[in-house]
Amino acid sequence: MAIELNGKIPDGPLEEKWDRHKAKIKVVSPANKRKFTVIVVGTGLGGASAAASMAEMGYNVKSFCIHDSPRRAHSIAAQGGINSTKNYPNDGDSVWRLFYDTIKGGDYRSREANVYRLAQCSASIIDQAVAQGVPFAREYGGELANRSFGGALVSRTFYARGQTGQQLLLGAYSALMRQVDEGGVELFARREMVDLVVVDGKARGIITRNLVTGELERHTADAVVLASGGYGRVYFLSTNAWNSNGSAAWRCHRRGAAFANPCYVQIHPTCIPVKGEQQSKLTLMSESLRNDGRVWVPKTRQDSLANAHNIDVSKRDYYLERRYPSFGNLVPRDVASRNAKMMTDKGLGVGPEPQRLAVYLDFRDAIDRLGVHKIDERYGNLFDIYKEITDDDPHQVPMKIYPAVHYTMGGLWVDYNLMTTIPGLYAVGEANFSDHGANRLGASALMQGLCDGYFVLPYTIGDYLGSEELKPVKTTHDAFNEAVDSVQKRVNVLLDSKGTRSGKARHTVLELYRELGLTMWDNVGMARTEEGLKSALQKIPEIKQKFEETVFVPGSSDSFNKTLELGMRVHDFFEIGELMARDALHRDESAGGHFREEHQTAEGEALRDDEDFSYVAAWEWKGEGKEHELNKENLVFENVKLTQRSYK
Amino acid sequence: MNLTLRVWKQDGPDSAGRLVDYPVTDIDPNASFLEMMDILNEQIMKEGNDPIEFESDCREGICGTCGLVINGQAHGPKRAVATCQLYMRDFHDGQVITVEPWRADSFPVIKDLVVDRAALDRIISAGGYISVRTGPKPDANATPIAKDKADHAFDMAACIGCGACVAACPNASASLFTSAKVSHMALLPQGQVERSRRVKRMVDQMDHEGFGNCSNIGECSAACPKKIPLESIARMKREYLRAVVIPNDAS
Amino acid sequence: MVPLKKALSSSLGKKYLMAVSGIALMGFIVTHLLGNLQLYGDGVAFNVYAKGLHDLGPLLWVAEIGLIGIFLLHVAVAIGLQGRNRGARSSRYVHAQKSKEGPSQMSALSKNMIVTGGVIFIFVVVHVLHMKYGVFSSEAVNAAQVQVKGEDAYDLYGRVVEAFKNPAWVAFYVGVMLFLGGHLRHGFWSAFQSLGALNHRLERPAIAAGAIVAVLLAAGFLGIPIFIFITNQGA
Repeated sequence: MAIELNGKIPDGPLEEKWDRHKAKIKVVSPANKRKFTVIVVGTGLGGASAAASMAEMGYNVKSFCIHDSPRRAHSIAAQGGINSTKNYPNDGDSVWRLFYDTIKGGDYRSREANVYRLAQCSASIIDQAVAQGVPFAREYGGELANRSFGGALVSRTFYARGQTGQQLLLGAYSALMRQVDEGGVELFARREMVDLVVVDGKARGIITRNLVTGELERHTADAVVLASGGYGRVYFLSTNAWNSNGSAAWRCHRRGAAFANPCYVQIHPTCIPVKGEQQSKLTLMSESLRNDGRVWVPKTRQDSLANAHNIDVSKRDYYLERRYPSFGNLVPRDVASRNAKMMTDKGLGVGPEPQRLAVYLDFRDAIDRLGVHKIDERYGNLFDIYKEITDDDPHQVPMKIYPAVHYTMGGLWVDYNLMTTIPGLYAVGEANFSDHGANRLGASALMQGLCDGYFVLPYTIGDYLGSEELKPVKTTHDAFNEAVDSVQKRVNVLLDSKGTRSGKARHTVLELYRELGLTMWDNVGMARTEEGLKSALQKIPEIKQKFEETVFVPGSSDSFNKTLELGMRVHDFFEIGELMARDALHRDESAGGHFREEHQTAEGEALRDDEDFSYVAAWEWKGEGKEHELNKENLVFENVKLTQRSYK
Repeated sequence: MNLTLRVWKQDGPDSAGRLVDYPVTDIDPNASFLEMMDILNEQIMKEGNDPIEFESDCREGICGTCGLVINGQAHGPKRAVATCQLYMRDFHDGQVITVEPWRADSFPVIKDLVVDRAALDRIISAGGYISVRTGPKPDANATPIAKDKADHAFDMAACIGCGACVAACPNASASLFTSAKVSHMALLPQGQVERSRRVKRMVDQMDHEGFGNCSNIGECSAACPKKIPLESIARMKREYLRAVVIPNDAS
Repeated sequence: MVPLKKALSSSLGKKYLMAVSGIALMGFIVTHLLGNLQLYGDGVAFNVYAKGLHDLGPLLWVAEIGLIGIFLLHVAVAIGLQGRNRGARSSRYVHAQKSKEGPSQMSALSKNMIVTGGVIFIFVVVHVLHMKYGVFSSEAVNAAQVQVKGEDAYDLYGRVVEAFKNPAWVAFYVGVMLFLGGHLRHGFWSAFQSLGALNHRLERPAIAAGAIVAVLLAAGFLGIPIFIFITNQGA
């Protein structure tokens, strides 16, 4: 049985949809709000802002995070900034322009209405954050400062040095902690959501694993909001945090929530290249660096071995400026990443032999033009991070950068209200699929997370709570028992594997996780082919089987056990990776971050097939061992014309 | 590189702990300290033993999750970095490295090197915020804030809540953590309305959690990955005095 | 907003008490030293000064009681703070804590204010018994009278000289003054920091001033026994 994908896009002109919708949807009275309990899983920008806002409105909120503190959510690591249509620099920005840039940046694979709403709300986010005391960068006159980000011809990015995500998250976290103090939010730290409980077809609770005691806990609610982030760690090496994972979303998917566009993955162009086999984590260098840094490679392979500063300007290929004169170094991420790969594929890369997997990001000209002081003011902390890691000083030598997995545009399918295909289950931020299409523009993730959490979900959830009849559910309900049993079984798979029982590790979790990651990067990475994807689809289940049979997980399930935590997440990553490969194989076109080598223009740009693929691919779980079913939501473009994306 | 790691092992908050020696061999000097710990854990598990439990997340020095006391220094020998930003090139071949958890009675050990820092969240919960609701707000540019003031507030807001200040303080005081938030908000016009209430409640909570007193030793600031200056503690003391002298919050 | 009583019982409040009492005690020490500088003279001036103080009568009593009060407050609050500090980390580090330097003032002195303070406390008791009540002086010196401005007065100078002819007393006084210097080294700037009087511009100068104050006061005091010991050799 296919799922009905009703996007519930409101009628009317684009500019009026959101206002009309807000005017029409149900509102829960103040007296009744306190009768409803809403679970929010995750405390990043989306989760913290949603939990705080709903508690302020009067709902009982239960907030869960896997970390020791809600402030650790991975939003904290976002560096560059947040977009908004404020038009403070007076360069002609508008809601329409941000909307258009985002639709185009996403290679025409996102919903018009959602993106327009995002652009409309973007100004309120800045006002809200400033009111909370977020210390954005300012000009000498005391007004807020802006900078430029990729894929835009205006300066619309607000920032707080290279720590914008941190400051915005601390703002949302402070609002959350205020509600904890006032009793509106009950906080559950060090809890991992390990299953969703569906009663009578509606999301009515979750099972969490207490990461300190190992206890499986039952929580009931009238609605569940998933704000658990993306699944980029399926690649093992990525810029995502060590504990980021896709399990909460995947568990919802297995309970009936459609998973949309899993193959849309953002590979960020400016990361510190991989070094050595023991590396655990890649580090991003903010896109803001491309405001002043110039990307280049030597024109010949001989020169690529020379010391960067000894290479004459005439022997350098500033390939982004050459190929995209109007956007130059500020092309969108997918374009910049693909071009870097193109250069290194040609053997023009720099960095350690034999791979030479890096290109230069050079600040010499900017330092000459603006002086060291100004450059340090803008990027000082990023230069420090770079130097810490590589032992090279970007003031002296150009940075070496290379693309790395950074963000997943795909996620749980949601309608205009941010509700998934399970009634009462919502998804916000990176956990949903809705706003970025096939490629996300820089400084838009923070915008989306906060827009969903502050300004969309708190309204739209009332429409559901106010119109459904929700009978009280007890934690002793059969659905809870069944969910706890199924979690226990999954725990047992790891603790009863031959690898664990033999008492000696045949394979550690990390070994098999790395193997999965490498398979994903090689076959479902920056450039994909039918052959590679088919091979991934064959390999992933093999590694998964090996995992289930031979993995070694020490200790017990009733105590603090990081290996077990990671093992359970990796176990889900096998299934997520497989679906990503399946989606990438089925999407026989190139779009944004999804680049099928079979489909490119003569110049090597992504070539879409709007005729056949202008839809959201929402995959439906059909049960263990059964193939996913594809459901399609056609994308309707009434306001923008689909064209070959050009940044020339 | 070959090293000996002398690591604190402790089963739970009420168990007795002890230092256990582990040889670590063949480490790339460019590996990070935590990657070295990962490799050691892989070795331990290959032999079927329980790994050393420690925490980390972003591994780029911003989330504040990681935190180890290495040879008596919170976040190890380098200044202005978190543990995850330490590289093995900061150590030397053959070194014996003692690794202990953050030690403070307000940070009970959960297991091995993992401690519970919820006390810091409770301090924030007591007043580390500006009480505004989500909703329509004045335009962000309605109140200009002088650049140096905004920059100064940012310096204070840069705290990552790792707790190194507590771990490094001979008294296990949380003054630097608390004062950073008090200062961030006291410096901004938005923070004026609740200025007195905030500092009073946060200091009360800090005391209630059982942290030690500030003896102005300043090791907190030296250990802080974000270089929060001692000045912030002085500001907290001024703010508290102000709250004693000025009876009501004036806007 | 914060009631004074509650404020003073908070961790910050106790440090205010330490700072204010500490500054007051430093004021006393400076005055005391200025008076004692007359011991570098011939003794007459010192006895005049001593009699002058003594003649203040009830006023002196009030001042002394006040001083004792401040001193005991400083000691009592210090003991309370120390207890809490020890209790905040009942499981100690196995590897000794090591300073990362930079802005840190961590040193044997800053970490052991309770020890230097304890030594000073014992000293003060001994010193008062010694110099005020003559408990450790010979009966001859205690009975001696001198003429000051035509009136009888105690020969306090004689008591001092008698003490500092004895190398043991010299060593004791000199030693303790080193502890006093050590206490002030961290105590001086710390008092202003605890009151919130410092900022990034004043912090370094205050720390430097602490070193100067510590050296000057310690040197001024410990020079007295040494001076008297040397100048009274063979006398």
